[in-house]
Amino acid sequence: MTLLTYALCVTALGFVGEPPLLAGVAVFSLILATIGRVGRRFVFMMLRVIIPIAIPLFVIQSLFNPIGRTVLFQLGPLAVKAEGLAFATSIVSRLVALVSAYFLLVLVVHPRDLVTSLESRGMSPRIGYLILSTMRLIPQIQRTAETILDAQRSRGLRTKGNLLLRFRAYLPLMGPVVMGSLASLEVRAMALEARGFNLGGRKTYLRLPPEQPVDRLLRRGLVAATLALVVISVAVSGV
Amino acid sequence: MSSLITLDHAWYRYPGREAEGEAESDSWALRDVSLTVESGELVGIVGRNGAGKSTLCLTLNGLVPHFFHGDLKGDVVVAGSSTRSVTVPALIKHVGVLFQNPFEQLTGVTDTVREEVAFGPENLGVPRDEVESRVDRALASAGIDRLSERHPFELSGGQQQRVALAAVLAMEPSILVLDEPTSQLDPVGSDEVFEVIGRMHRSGYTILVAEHKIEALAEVATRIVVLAHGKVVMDGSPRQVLTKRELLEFDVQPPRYTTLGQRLADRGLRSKGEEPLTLDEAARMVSDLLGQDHA
Repeated sequence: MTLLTYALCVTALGFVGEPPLLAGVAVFSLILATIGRVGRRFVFMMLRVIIPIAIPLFVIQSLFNPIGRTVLFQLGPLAVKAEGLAFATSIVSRLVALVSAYFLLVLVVHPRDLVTSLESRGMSPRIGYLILSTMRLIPQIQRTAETILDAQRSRGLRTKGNLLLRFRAYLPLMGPVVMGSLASLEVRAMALEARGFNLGGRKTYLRLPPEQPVDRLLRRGLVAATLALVVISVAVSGV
Repeated sequence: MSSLITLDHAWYRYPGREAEGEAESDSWALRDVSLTVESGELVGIVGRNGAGKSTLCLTLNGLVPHFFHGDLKGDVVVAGSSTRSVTVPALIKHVGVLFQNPFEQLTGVTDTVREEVAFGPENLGVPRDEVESRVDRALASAGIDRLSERHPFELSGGQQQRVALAAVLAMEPSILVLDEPTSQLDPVGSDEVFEVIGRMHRSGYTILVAEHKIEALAEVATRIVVLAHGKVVMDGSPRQVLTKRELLEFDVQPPRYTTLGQRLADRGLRSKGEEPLTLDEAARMVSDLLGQDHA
């Protein structure tokens, strides 16, 4: 819950924060990820998401943004302008801060723990189930689709070739996968019903994530600090 | 003493079936079913595909008609309550249902067998200590306590089915309804499940099991009900039902051991009499024929 609060606070800061603050947030996320022993994966995931977005953004904004007036240097016929660069920095820093907070959440917190925490605080178990089952069952549906595709290939379906051919090959897959998934869904819904999923009373949780008194304190501190930073940023930009 | 389960002239039709232009009686999945089950019985329900076995199973825990809707006529009373007037959640405390496909009845959202089995008691709001002890008992009863920390999706079909059974047992129902629990399992997986069924029965559960594996059923059942076209056409002890030649009229094969006994009798190799139902009885018959001491 504390990391979710952190991610939500960073989201709020993303709207008003300046690049240095947001860069600081990203570094803080990296430190937390390193403490949580997921530092390497964190960096890898960040680079994979940020680089393909940041590079084109910097190039396009610094060269072609019409707000650009101050030429920093020339690259042949193209002029790199300070205003465009600043705009790109602002966008990328927001993105880096936001993505860092959510990747930290995803890498450190087990989805079931997060959902259990939210459910124990009043979120509907149906929403919790929806979140978890989407994450877990999609790989199963993919496996089913591969099996059906293999079966259809063995009956002569061509799946290699140009884009149109590949698209046409996937059409016959849709029926069995969708209908099969819907049929499974009915049995699963019955099984859930038979196991009291829709009882609606107060649930017990066998695995409730541990909650230390310091967690509550941290969450309150995070929310207070974020509110303060938002107010200061709005006041400063208003002046 | 009133029966644990009573079906009194029960008829059931799935929604949409009446609009398909079928003959009126053909549109019903259950037709005039009257059946009583006493506490402690292990009732085997047999019949060809489409005979109404699954529908009968679903009727007992209220999924018919509350989940499927459709038309239910007559009375279905389980543990003193009419399934029409009580909800599925009210019935799950009395009736646990195990379905055919082990994978499809797993919740799909748990990481360990232990969590999977705890899902039902958690929903019931049972105190945490009680959830723990229920899970321990259910895992032990299903013979899968050593799998408790494994991921449910990484298990074999037979193991998954025993996880699903443990999940049902953890709800602590007094009646177990098993709808073709071994139809998708290999012989080893089937044997594992039937072993647990026998054990559950000996420990006092009332069990109804719809099944095609007639030899396995003959080993454990105390009573056999034959369904055909949604109707109960035969009902009695395994010996009364499974040794009758008319069984074939309803597309139900008798146990191979019984057929063996009948063929030997037809060829005059043994005197007509009590045919064997189980492997042990068949071994005894062969032993007698060979003139050996079977003790």
